[in-house]
Amino acid sequence: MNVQVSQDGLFSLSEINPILFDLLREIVLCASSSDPRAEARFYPSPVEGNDIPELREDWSSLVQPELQAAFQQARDVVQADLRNASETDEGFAFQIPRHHADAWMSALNQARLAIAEEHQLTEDDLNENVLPAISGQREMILLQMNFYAFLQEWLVQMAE
Amino acid sequence: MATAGTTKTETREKISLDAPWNVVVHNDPVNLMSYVALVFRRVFGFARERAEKHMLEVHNQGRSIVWTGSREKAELYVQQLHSYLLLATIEKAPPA
Repeated sequence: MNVQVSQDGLFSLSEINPILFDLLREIVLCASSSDPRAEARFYPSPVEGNDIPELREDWSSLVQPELQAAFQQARDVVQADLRNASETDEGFAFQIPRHHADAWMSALNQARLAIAEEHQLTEDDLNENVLPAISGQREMILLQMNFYAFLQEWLVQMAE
Repeated sequence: MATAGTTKTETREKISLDAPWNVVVHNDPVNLMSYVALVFRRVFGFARERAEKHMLEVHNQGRSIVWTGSREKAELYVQQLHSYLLLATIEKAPPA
């Protein structure tokens, strides 16, 4: 995969292996998870334990819909960028305008959090420095998590 | 009786809202350390060193009090942190 950043802040990704491009396409799918564990992680309580029940209720009725809309908006931006991808002999290519970077960071984070919840990944799983050989679904999931983390880390550095 | 009761409730509520509240960020295994520090810089306007200090506190101690002040503002900060998918809560600050 080749990444270039132009002076006007356009990120151009090219020569993307089809397998990695499939993983990129899965960002929105994973981030849109309806798994109750992912849902609980996306919309946590603003208080620990049973403190301030009225705030918890307000949060569910007022804040959660706003967050849902914001997360959906980020996923829509990512999907639109990927829809504009082209395929060449060297692989797939697409661009991320700088003002879409926050949407990408959000969608990647949503996807990583949802995958971690659905597959009950631990801190040890995620901190493995050496990727295991891909011999099953779990290794594939770890590869996906690492790929998304790499992209998110890169976007964070670009945002600095 | 009803009127007096209402007055008491309103007074307690006022005291509760005026007391300082902490914004606490909790550790989770997924969020990247660099991302958490970036969010602190954006939401609170922290300098890089302060953002990284709080990020490391979250990572090493499981939680960090990142801001203390009025409840209304604390709730707004928690909402912003949730929009970045950080685990954040408010709690009443212990009396000084």
